[in-house]
Amino acid sequence: MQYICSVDWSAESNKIISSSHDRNIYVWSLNQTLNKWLPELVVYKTKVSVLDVKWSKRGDKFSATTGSKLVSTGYFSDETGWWTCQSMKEHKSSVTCARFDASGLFILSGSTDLKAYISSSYIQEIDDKYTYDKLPYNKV
Amino acid sequence: MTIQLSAWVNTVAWNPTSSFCYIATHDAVFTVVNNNDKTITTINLTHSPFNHIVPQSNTSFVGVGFDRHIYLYEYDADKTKIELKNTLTKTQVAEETGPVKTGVSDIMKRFDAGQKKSIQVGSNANNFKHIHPALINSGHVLGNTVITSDYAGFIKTWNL
Repeated sequence: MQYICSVDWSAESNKIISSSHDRNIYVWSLNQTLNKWLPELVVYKTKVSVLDVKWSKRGDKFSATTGSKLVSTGYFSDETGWWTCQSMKEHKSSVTCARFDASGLFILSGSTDLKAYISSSYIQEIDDKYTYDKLPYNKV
Repeated sequence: MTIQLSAWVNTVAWNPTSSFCYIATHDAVFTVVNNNDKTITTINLTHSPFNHIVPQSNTSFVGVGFDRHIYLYEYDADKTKIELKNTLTKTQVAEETGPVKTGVSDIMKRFDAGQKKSIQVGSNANNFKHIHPALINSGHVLGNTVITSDYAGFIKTWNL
């Protein structure tokens, strides 16, 4: 058991996500029968702590940042039946925080490399289900 | 898009319509990126850096940091200006009357005994009147109420 560095709850999906210095991310779902929150381990390989996790507005994706310079977008893969992540390695140092925009298509991430990035967090399996009439900006 | 800053990034946030990006760095500089016209506005904070920022409306946000106070700022896109609107903790401390209880152990005993109520500071306060004894860890905004947690183990609500 190690320091839990980030927790977030999604009102849309009623799920809790937690990350810890033990390099694990768990998604907690409420089991109505048992009236208990049950964890599911996210398939996520990192060598160092997961520093920050946050749900998107819809609650079907989450962002995760690590000390190994990764910014990741997590989602539930229907194909495999697991929570999994796709990662981006743009930063040159530990990524301290990341937040989705209102559409969930972009991530704003900040790091100890003195930079902030706005990157695409498009996941075909998740985002193709929705139509976007107007994006907040034309290009990143 | 890359935004070059001057120190480690403590926290980032978007406003509700995603037209502004808020970035707080450890050198007590606060940056707002306007995504509509791609302008960047910065302000040197007159207090300690922010540790956590939460949008309160489309143009205002609440920030908490290392100096145990809660700040309400507003960004004016037309004037490209960031202004401090209110310091919640200072305002509410000034309004308090009567003795101030600093009994941290007293509160923890109540918590352990099952009185797991959040402590509200303000006109409808409980018997406790409390000043933040420790650094504020994070804050969230719900309507006109700010909820904060701090390293002393307290969860508090504040009226905006």
